[in-house]
Amino acid sequence: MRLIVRILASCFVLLGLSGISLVSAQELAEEQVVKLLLRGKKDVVHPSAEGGDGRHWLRVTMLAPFNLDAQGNMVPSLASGFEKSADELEYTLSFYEDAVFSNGKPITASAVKEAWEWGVLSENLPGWGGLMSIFRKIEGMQAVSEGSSTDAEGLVVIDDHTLKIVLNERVIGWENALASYMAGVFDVSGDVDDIDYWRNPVVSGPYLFNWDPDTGAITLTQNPNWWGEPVTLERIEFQVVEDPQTRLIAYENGEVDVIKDLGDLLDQIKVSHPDELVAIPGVGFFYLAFNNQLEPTNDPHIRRALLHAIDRRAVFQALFPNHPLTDSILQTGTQCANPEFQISYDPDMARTELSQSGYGNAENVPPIRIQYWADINFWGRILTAYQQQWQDNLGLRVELFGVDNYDTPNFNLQRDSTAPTINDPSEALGVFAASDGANAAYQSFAASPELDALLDEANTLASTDTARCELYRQIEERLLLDETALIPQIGIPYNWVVKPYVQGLETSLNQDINWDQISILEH
Amino acid sequence: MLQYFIKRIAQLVPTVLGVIFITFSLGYFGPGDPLKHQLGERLPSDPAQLERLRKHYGLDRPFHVQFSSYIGKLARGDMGISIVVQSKRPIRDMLGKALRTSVQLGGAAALIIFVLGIPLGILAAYRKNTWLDYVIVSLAALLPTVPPFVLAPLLLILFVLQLKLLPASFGWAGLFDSRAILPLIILVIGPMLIVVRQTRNSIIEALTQDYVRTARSKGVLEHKVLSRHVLKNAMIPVLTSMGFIISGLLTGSLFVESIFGIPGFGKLIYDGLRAYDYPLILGTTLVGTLIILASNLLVDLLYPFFDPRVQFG
Repeated sequence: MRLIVRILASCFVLLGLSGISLVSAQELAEEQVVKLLLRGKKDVVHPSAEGGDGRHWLRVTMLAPFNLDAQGNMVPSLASGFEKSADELEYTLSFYEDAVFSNGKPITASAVKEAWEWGVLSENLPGWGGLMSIFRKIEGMQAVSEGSSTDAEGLVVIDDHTLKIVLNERVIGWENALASYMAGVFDVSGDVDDIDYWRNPVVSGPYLFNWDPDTGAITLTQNPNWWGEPVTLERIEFQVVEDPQTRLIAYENGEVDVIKDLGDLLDQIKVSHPDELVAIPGVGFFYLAFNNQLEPTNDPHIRRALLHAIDRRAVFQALFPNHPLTDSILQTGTQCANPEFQISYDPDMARTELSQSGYGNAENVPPIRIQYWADINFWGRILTAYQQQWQDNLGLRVELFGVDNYDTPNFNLQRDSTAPTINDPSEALGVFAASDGANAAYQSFAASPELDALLDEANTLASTDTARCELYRQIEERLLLDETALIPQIGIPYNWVVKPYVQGLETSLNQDINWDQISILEH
Repeated sequence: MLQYFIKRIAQLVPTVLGVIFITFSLGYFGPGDPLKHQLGERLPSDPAQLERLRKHYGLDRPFHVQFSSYIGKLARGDMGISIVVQSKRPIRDMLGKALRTSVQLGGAAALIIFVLGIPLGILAAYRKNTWLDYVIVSLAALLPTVPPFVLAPLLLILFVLQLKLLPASFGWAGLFDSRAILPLIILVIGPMLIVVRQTRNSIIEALTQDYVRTARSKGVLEHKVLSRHVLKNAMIPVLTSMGFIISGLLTGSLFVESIFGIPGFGKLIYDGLRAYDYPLILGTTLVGTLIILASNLLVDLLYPFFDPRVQFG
């Protein structure tokens, strides 16, 4: 009897399994190919200099030690895990033992070290810093970058599969740097200094990379030497089309499966394809940065008057209703963010601030100069609306300048953005509050020593300490309402537009796509 | 003819050198910096990195050193490397690849313009002041005024989304791929209608000339009057336009290539200008100048075949 029961049970299991596999086989499309249109041009394809759309293929070609999942958690990629020392100055990474490059060569800790040391060489970095912007605190990296040393002492090979990273200064949440696409690993023993190497580099991930300069196409195909979990997609085809309307038309015509929208057509797509939008999470945001070294914005009353005299909500509602307006520096997704915090539109308060300023009234205030990066027309429209509101509510004269780069300090306000490479309030607030923060260093806003000290105090607290968030929120509020270092504008309005048959697509703070987990359903 | 040709080539040298000097000076002294442009709205993590890169690309040297170095390299066929658009890629390679695409696209467009534009112009001239003439003249006046960046989305919506006759065009898969049709249409429309209008006007003028009246009075068949007397004389101004149109198609399909993501010469110019990548701007300007000068020379060499009154020398 027991034998019969077992045989029947086995039959059920087998039937069940075969049924499931039959359904799966029917659901999956015969051709597992995804076509995608991007906006940005590709100037470099190696990870350490990547700041644009390269991040969309780096995740599955040149693997960083970790990836970020949709919730922002670090998940293993090239490394299986890491340990952090109590003083947070040492990180020990364990790499998968069976990991090999696409040419079959083992991926060892030395290979990772060499790839990173090549990546930080000055001539391989872009002007904004690239990999060095996240690796600069590694012991000896600066010397390697400048060419005065070939060995970064802070990258210590323990054995073939273990690499210790030593920082010269504690950086809260530094481990997030290990999940950046800029830390992607490739085989540096190839002819990496030859630009043509990068058309078909030796990669570490499940997909081979091929860039054809003749057609402008980038194609990822399965890596026959891939050492990890099998992947389903056979091919991923990228094409760069700068015109957003052409991208959308190609998508609507069924010629491509995924497009990226950087907010250009968001309002249109929200209506035409509401169910096909996959929002790209972001802890960065766009803002207007004040210059407190130049008249009249060196007067905090003027800065506060400008802050409260514009109705940002009304402007965005009228011009770009689907863009995510923000009032904060700490965005949702960053610890200690306060979604309740709001900046008021209060013309009376703005007028009071103006009358309390050293200028007394609008007639005495010199023209306020605002520069914005002219590559994005969007901001010209927003700022023109603000210009009118400042004129109507305060009688102030505001001049707008669309520029190609922010080379000149001769401005009162500048349209800017920040996206912390390390998702922690210390990093996000440090931009504005730290005396050596980017805002102070490059945007002519001298940070208040008091806030700087408060930030230092908060940074010493453990991430679980409730006082930490209280301090960070206090800093944020004072930066916005008292110091008024900036006027927040919008969060990241980026989206993927994805056909429903592209199964399992997820994106992360890195704006990447989990190609290794995607399949195409029959359609 | 050979003497004339050599003389003309020799005359080109100072023109080319002048163009290089002016472009180089504008790049050096004008506003904009390729390395700073790379930053966009980002802040450098280490300001000294910009200086290191400036040194790496030789941008820290004085004008005369940079210029003489550029001319020296140019004489050896080295046009330098791209700083921003395709970091470190030799400009010569980039130009070669881009021109291959643009020559196909521009060449095909020029052929269509020639094959359709001239007969339509003749037709309009022979049907002067009829509805056909009015339609052709109206279109010839209206359509060239619509810029490609307006025409492109309109045609995309019409042909791709509404009529579903064509695929949306992006990238470049060769001239015989259906995705090349829309860019070709947009490239052809403006210049073709200019050729139509010019052919029509020239033919109408030629038809009033004494030699045509004489030929007709002698009983020469109308098609012979057209081919032997009218067309030959009327083609001279059209030929001049065709020179400009062909060089324009090769060098100036800037908007079309950018809108459709075609990696051609126009796109390269556009990318170079946007990024202040001035080795690339210099390279594209130089090659663009050579194309324009060559097409002008070609037109000049063709004149005597159409009008025996024009002599070499």
